[in-house]
Order: sequence, then structure tokens, then C-alpha cells
Amino acid sequence: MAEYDELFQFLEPSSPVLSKSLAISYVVGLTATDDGLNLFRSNRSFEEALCRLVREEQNDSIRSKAFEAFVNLSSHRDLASAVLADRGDTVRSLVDEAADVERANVQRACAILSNLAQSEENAAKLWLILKADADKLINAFCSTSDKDFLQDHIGFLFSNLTVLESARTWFMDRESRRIEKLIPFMTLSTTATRKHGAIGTIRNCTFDTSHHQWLLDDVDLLPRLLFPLIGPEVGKNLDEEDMEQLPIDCQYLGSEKKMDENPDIRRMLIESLNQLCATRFGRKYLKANGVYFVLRELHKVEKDPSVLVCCENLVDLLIQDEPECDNLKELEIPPEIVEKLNKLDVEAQKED
Amino acid sequence: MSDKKDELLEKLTEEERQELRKRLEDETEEYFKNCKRSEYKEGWNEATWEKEMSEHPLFATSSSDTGELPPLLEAIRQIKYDEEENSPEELARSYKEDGNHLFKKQDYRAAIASYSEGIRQKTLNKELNAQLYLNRAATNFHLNNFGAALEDSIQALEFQPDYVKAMSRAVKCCWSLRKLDECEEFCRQILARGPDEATAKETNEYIEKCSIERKIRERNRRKREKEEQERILKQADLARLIKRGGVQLSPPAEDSDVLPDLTPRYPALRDFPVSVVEDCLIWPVALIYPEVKETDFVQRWNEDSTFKQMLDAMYGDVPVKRKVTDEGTAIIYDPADLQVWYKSSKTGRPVGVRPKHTLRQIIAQKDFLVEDGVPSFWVLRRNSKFEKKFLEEQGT
Repeated sequence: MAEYDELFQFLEPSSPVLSKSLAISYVVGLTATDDGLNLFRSNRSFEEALCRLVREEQNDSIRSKAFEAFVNLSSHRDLASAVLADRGDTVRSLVDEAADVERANVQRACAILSNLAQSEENAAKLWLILKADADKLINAFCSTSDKDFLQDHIGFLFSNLTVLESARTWFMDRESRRIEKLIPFMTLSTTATRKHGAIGTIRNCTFDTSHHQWLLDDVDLLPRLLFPLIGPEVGKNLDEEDMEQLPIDCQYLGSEKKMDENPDIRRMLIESLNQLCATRFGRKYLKANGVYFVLRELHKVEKDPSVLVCCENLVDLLIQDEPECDNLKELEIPPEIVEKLNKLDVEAQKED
Repeated sequence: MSDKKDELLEKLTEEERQELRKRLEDETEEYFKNCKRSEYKEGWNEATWEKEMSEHPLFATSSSDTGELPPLLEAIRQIKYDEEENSPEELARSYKEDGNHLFKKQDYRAAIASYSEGIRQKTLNKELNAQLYLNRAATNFHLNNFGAALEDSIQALEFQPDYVKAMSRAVKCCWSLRKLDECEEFCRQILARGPDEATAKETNEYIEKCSIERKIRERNRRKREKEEQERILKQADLARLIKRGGVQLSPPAEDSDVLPDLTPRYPALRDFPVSVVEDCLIWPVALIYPEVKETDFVQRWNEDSTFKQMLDAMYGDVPVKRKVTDEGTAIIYDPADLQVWYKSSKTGRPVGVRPKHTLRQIIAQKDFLVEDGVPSFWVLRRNSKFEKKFLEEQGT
């Protein structure tokens, strides 16, 4: 191990550029192997040296390599957790790097932040560190430039953070209405990553039943969720009466309108609709707005088994009589039944 | 009492005073004796005093309806509106007040005239001009003259570019005229000036209304597009089946893919032009009874149904009495005893149709012509005298 201590001495700020450069290249290699990562686990000073380079290094090439090593490091939950516990300043400095598309390491900074938020526990720590600056990230995510794909991973960061209730509350703040800024990316022709991040975040927000009425009535989320699920068969098979139950934006979209081609996106959208069915208000709203017809037509052409299962679950909720319980999430289900249901879902997926 | 009079009175002796009094009394007596007796009529009486009062210029609460002003009012008016006595600004202000007064009384046309007169003064006071235009805009708005109201609002803004009330009025006008772009633009201008809460709320409501209206328009456009596409597809399908069935049309199709107008000319069939159901043609059909000069109309005849099926459906088993001849005998049409004919387009002669034939089979005949979208047939009583005569007459 001692030889590695020497290696890390070369990473000191005072060390000559040439030796520092060679050393950091080697460190990048280390972060890609289990043995190398174990060095970081056993000696926290390595991590500290790396963080200092990320924050302060003047040489662009060396600094970029430090970022690269940090990306690798942050993808491991235990190491991420250690960084979040002790390197708050470094993490905070990443927000500025990630929010400015002109910075050299913008893409890596976004990837590190998204990595750091991968587990719920780490997400909670990260949220505490960056909440105050998070608006910068939203604005960066929503501004368009020819290089904005570099910031696509901010979407994953949001998606990871919104497993936390406090982050969801922040997105659905009635004054700032941040969630609305993500909505255009649901239908915009943008990169798959960005769309995935935006829809993942929105889906997470639908888990909060207390916001259902606001999301449907005020944010007008339903047409946004339905629109990507509508393909040409909806226009072909629905008569006027059924068609005009749909939200206005979703009516008569014509034979040219195709479904979103990414099954992950379709699944997340249907999951969101499913979540909205947890409240009586949401169920009634979805039933009154012809969601059933869209799902019925989707089911006829859907090939992806996981989307099909999701679709069937939703259709069941939409066609059944109104249950006694207002909020389905408050319903207590005996654990043995949960197990049975899960089994059935898995089997259903296998059959398809 | 003046001092002079007092002096005079003091100088008179008691006698002179008595004499003067008597003379005055006599003269008065004399005067009344010479007067003609007549009743006093001009005073206000209890029944009419309110009306009198309301018509008197000093107490009037409204101007006269005849347009002619009482002299007193006319005089006051002249003082108020005299161009020599008043500056253009004073006049404009007077006209504005006048207009406001008339507006309150809901006399909108007169109010507009007042504001217009005020505008005509071309005062240099920009604020006053803006108010005059805006008030006229509001009045025009009340009369549903939204176009004029919008123009006035814009004029008001020319004089006073930050006049939020004028912008609000413009928003309402644009919305009433469904000018969505302009409406939203004025809304943005209002919000950019940080209006009070009520105005902001109202403005946001108009933005929302515009957005919904836009969605509806867009939806309607898509709907029309879809309907047009469906119509074209239906037409194409119809053309295909007509071509497949070897149907000859009159008037003929100008080009093999475009059908002529197939709307039936018979009023009873007008709403039932030939259509397609499950790859079959559904025809409107005319059955003509020349002997009784009547026609039966079949609105929807599936081309695969036979003539027997169709006649059975129409008659059941019951013979129908159609007419009584001059000699008093009834002409009875028994479905078992009917013969259907069509006119050959080649020879002009009737060609018999057998009950087992389908409409499709007959229409496909080379000498069958569908005229004006309706296949038509003669129906005659088999072996009747009339049939014989009719067949002889036709096509010879």
C-alpha cells in the first residue's frame, strides 16, 4: 500500500505538472478496478486529494482526469456515501460546474451528481447539500443550446432525488411550479436521456396523493401523460363520442401521430397514470377523460411485456366499480396477498 | 325701508294719509273691475307638480327627449360650451363629464357623441385625451361595438402608453373579437407592468381563456382534417365498388377515379345517396308505377338483396289497392303478381327482371344505366291490359 501513498503525493498541488499528470492518469485507471477502489476505501486521503484536484487544479487536462476518476468513484454506493458525508464543499462546487454548459467538465459534473443520488439514503444526503442551489440545475436543464445534451444527466439526478418526499414537495411548490418546467420535455423531440429523466421525475411526483388534484386540475398533467401514448389506432378506432371524452389536446391526432417508441417511456407514463388512480379524485378524472380508450388501443398494439402488465393493471382500475376506499394507498393489504400478486405479475410477464 | 320713504310718510298728515289710502283702494277696485274674469290655470296643482317640476329647467333631472332644450338650459349650455368662453381643455373636460353622466344613465349613444365632441377639441392634455378615448371605448363595448372599442382603447394607449385600464379594455375587446394573438399581447403588457392583484387575476384568466380557445381551434382543425380524409377514403371506396360492379352512371364519370355527383334528385331520396357498407353498395331505388302514376322510394337497398326480398319486405303478403279507375274498379297490386322492368339504355325498350335477381346483377347489365345516382324500375301488373299497352308504347 505504501507505494500508493507515494503516488498520491504526486497529486499534491505543489507537485510538478508532469508528474501530477502521470499520477492522475494512473488514478483514473485505479478507479475502474475493484482493487483500485479498495485503496480509496482503505485510505480516505486519496479521496481527499482527488477532491482537491476537482476543486482547485489549474491545469485543464489534469482537472478533467480528476473528474473522470470521480465519476467512477461516485458510481459505487459506499464511496458515494463517504463523499457525501465528508466532502460537502466539493459536491456543492459540482453544482456550479454542472449548471454551466460552457464549463469543461459540465457533463462529468452532471454524471457525478446523478451517481451520488442513486440510493435513497445517498439522495437524501445530496439533497441537503444542493437544495439551496437546485434552481440553477433546473434552469440549466430547461435552457436550450446546441451543447445542452451535455447536461442530460441532470434529468436522472432529478429522477433520483424525487424518491425523496421533500424533493417532490420542492418540485411541486405552488409558487415556483418547477414541475411545469419539465413538462415540455415529455413531448419535445429531445434526447432519449433527457426525456427519460424528465418523465421519471414527473412519475415520481405522481406518488404524492396529496398533489393529485393540483397536478390534474392546475398543472393539467393528464394530456401530457396521454399524448405520447396515442398512436394512429386511437384515431382510427374511436368514434366521435369516445374521442371527445379525451382531453382536447389529445383528440383527433390523426394517422401520422405515432406512439413514443421507447417502451421505458411508455411504461413510466402508464405508471404515472396508475399512481393517479390511487385517489378517488384521480380515478374519476381519468375515467371522465377517456384514458380507458387510449389504453385499450395501446394494448392492441403493445409488444413490450412490462408495458402490457402495467397497462392491464391500469385498465383494471379504470373499468372496475368505484371502491369504498378513497385513497387506495391507505388500504392495508395482507402480506401474503401482496406476495401472490407479485408472483402473478412476474408470471404474466414471463408468459408474454 | 329706505330713509326717504320714512321722511315722506312722516310729512303726511293723518287726513292726507286717509285720503291716499282711499285713492289707492279705489284705483285697485277700478283695475279689477276692468279685468276679465278667468280661471287661473297656469299654476302647478297637486296632481301635476312633480311633472312640472321635473320639466322646469332649474329642477329638471333629465334633459328633454325631443332634443330641443328649454331656453334656460340652452343658455346655460351656451355658457358652458361657448368656444370663446372656454379653452379646448375646459370644453373637453365638460364633454367628458357630460359623457360620464350620460353613460351612468345608460344613454350610451349620447355618451359616445359627448366623448367624440370632447375628442374633437384636440386638447393638448394627453391624459384627458386618453380618458376620453377610453371612456368612449367602454361605451362602445357596452353597445357590443367591439371593433370600435378596441380602436379607441388603442388610441387611448397612444396618448398614454402605460394606461393599464386601457390595456385591460383592449384585452376584453380582443377576447370578444377572438383575436387571440393580440389579446395575449395586451395581457403580457399588463403583467409586465406589475398590476394590482385583481387585474393580474383577471388578466391571467384571459390568458387561460385564449389558451383553451387555441386548443379548441386546433382540435377542430384536426377534426375537420380527419373528416375530410374519411370523406376522401369513402369516395375512393365507393368509386372502387362502382367500378368493380360494372355500374354505368349517367351523367358519366369525367375521369375514371372521380365519381360524378350521385346525390339523388328525388327529395325523398336526397339524404340517401349510394353508400358502402361492408364492401357492398347500398342504393337508393325508385320503383315507378306508370299505370297509377305513383313512385315508391327505397332508401337503402343492399345490392345483394333480390327483387323478391325487396318486394316482400315492402308488401308483406298483402295486396295493395293503389287506385280506383274512372269506371270504379280498384287497381290492386298483388306482390305475387308483379313484374319489374328496367329500361335498356341501348334499345330504350323495357327488359324484364326476375324476382330471384339481385340488384347487383341487374345493375351490372351492360344496358343498365343508373341515372342521377338512383337505379329506377317500372313495376307493372303481370299480364294486365295496361302492361301490354305500355310495353308496346315503350321504345317503339
